[in-house]
Amino acid sequence: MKKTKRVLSLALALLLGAAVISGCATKSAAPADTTAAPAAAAGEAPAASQAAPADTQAAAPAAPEVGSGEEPEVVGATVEAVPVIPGAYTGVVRDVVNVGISGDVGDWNPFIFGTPTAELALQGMYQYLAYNFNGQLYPCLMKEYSFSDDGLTIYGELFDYIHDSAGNPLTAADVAWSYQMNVDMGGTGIGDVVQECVATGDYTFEFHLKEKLQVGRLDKICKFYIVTKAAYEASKDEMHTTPVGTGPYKLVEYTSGSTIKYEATGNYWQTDPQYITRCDQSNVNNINYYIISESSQRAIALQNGTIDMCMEVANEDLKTFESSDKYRVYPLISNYNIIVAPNCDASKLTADVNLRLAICYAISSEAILESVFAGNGNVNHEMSPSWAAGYLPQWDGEENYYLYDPAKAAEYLAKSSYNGEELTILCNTTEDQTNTAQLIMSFLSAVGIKSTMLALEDTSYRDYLKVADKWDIALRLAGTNTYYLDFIYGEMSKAKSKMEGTWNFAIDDELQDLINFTVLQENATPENIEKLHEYLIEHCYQYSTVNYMEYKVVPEWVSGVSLSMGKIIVPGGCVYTQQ
Amino acid sequence: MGRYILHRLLLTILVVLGAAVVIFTIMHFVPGDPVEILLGNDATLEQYAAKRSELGLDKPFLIQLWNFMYKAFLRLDLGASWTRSTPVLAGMLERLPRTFLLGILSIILTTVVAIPIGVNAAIHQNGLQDRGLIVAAMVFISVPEFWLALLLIILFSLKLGWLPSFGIESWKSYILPVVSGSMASICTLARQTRASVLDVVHADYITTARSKGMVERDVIYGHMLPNALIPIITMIGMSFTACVGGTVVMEQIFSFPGVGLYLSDAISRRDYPVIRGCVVVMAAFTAILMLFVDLAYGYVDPRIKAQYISSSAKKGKVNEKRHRRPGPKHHSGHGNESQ
Repeated sequence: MKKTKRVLSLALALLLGAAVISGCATKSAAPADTTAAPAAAAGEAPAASQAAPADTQAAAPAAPEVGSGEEPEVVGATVEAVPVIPGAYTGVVRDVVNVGISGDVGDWNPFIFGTPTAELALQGMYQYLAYNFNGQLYPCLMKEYSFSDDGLTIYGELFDYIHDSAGNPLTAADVAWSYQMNVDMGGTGIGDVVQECVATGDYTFEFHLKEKLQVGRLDKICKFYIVTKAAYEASKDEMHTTPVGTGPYKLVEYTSGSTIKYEATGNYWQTDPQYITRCDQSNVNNINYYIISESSQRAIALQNGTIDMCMEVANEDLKTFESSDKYRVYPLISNYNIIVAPNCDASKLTADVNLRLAICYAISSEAILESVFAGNGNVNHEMSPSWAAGYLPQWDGEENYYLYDPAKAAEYLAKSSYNGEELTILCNTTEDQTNTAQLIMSFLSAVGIKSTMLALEDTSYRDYLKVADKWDIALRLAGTNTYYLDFIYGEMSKAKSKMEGTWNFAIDDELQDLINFTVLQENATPENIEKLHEYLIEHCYQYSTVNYMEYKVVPEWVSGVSLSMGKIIVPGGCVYTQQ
Repeated sequence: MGRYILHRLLLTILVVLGAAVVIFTIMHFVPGDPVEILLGNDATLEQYAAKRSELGLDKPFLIQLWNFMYKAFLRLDLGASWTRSTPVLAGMLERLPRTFLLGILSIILTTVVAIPIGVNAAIHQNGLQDRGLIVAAMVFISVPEFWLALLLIILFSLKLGWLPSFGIESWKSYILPVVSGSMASICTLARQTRASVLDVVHADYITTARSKGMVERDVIYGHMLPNALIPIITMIGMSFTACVGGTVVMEQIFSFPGVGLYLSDAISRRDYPVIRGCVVVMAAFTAILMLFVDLAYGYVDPRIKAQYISSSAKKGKVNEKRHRRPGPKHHSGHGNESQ
């Protein structure tokens, strides 16, 4: 008996020891280097605008003749980007795809502002009037649209055979009702642009605009979820947990915080391939989303086959997948840019433009890209990256966008009122931002500017951003819209910040006038955009450093990756080679 | 005994009320605007104001506190989650069984493994088992739970492919969270058991039992263990309280949709009703569990039970005397009864 106990004790100890040792071995063998991602230029992916039905854009106002606006994805060696309208699907229809995502949807109500995860999970079930890819609208529920002569009314027409997964027909009255629900429940910002939405017939409706349309606002008008009033009223809880949409998928199972299971409805209303964008295909019958909050856990789940594809893969896990035949790593340029924003409040030292310029010239964006993002991305030459529509190509060659120059920084510092005070750099607690902040601290120190870092979790960080005396320099992730001017408007307009000036307290009426003038469709000419660009550089209110890469991992049986407007993988639109 | 239980239950109510006030106050002053999280950046100032009013955030602190306390304790309504639009109580009840099962399995594993190991180490003091326990305890108490969890995932999920690494799809999903969450407590409890048994192992009554020719197993489990149980019960009781609130880390690592993940998600999204609701339920649960632990002492050790009874009786007598004393008009319920 005693012997047995001893043996059991030893076995237990050995088992525990083995677990520790094996774990250590794996950890140490794990790659530390993350530089192996293939580098390629932005904008190589094929633009699919030619595949779009011509009548969709027929009546659109003239777009600015500047900027590429091409899809910024960087396509890997063996996996292709699916065109926006891929035509009839010729690949294999797969039965099940398991996808790892990082967060929960929370609320399924179509009119509530959601998280990025919500956008991911809701796609395929709820639909918009139209999708915006490459600065061009593609039809979804809305067959066509046109503008009135004065540019203050948009006339829209729906397809006349739309129905939701419960069989309720969708009409123009549902569009007007959904619009009003969006305005009432807040969040999409559509109410800023549109005065009202009126149904003028069974399938025709009008948007009455508050003012002439700005660049990039049309797709925002089209980007709100539309559901049938009948389904909404039939829902026992206003679709908070029982969603019904017009998309090709329906929710069949939801375990809060754990799993979301979709099934193809099998009776999707749109059958004409020329109108089905990659967001609305159903090339897989069942999509299971697994909510895995830990990045390392998602990587492990991919490796052990529990999930097939993953939206967010950490840099340190990439090499595992790149070196394996079982996966394909799909790198694409992110929508996000790292912005360095000096606090321009009059009470702050950084209200002095010379100090702001000294700070910007002291920071090397190349070093940030190399050190923080392992070289994966691009250095910005303007507030937005070069792939944004409206970006002028000549900016890439310019040398006036705060190219790293310590001598120039010292020169501006000498001209400034800076006298050895310590500046507070406010940032989020994410690894990217804290690493960037540390690097910036060392750059500033090199030119004689003292600084300290204040890293806060996201909600507190956003709260601190609004208080002028809490920080001197803020790091911020700013998401680029498709349009350069819309991005500038979002970052710099006081209408957007809902303050007296920009979100970083720059009160400048001339800037506001310039922005408000240039963002109008009719004024968005290269000359006016150039003026705005020069004004921004001269006043140095914000400094956009890098536009980095993001990575998606898909299995080898995916030959084409389909991405949504928000660059999220759309499993239903991917091309599969195995059932 | 009944009086003692009643007294403790009244204290429990105070504890829960106190916890509710504290968490409400903390969340009120913590940075982070829930309305901005709910509406995003595109909403207008009017929409922000309307939402703030709808949620009652525009009212003074004391009014908000009163509204919360009134609804939570007089109408038993913990409100609805701001981010999920579902009742907090329903959200808790959906997740509580999972978290509770995880906790109970951990306690069972801990108890079943730790007590025999601790007893074995004590009766073989300075032997191989004893030294093995001391070393293993030192290692596993020092190792952070999340790190051990990741190592076990790598071994059993990634390398061997035996167990799932996340979720709640099958019973297998519980194995890794339970094992990794129990290792530190197994070692702690085993050490505690060892120490408690060592306290009684050389006692006279043990020598007497042995000299009477009792089988060693009966000596251990009939005489040693019952007398060493009090600190062990305390530790197990403390583990029970962790059943509801203490598994946040494990739930996060294993993406286990329990109360801990519900709470941590609510904190990051400033979902006040969920945070308050979870804290109130956890406080009530913990207080009631601790009451059961205290009562368990009485059943294990008759001396403690006698103390409960005698202290209750004394208090009863004191009250009786107070009320019999002539003096100012003082009529409490008890006073009236005793008169």
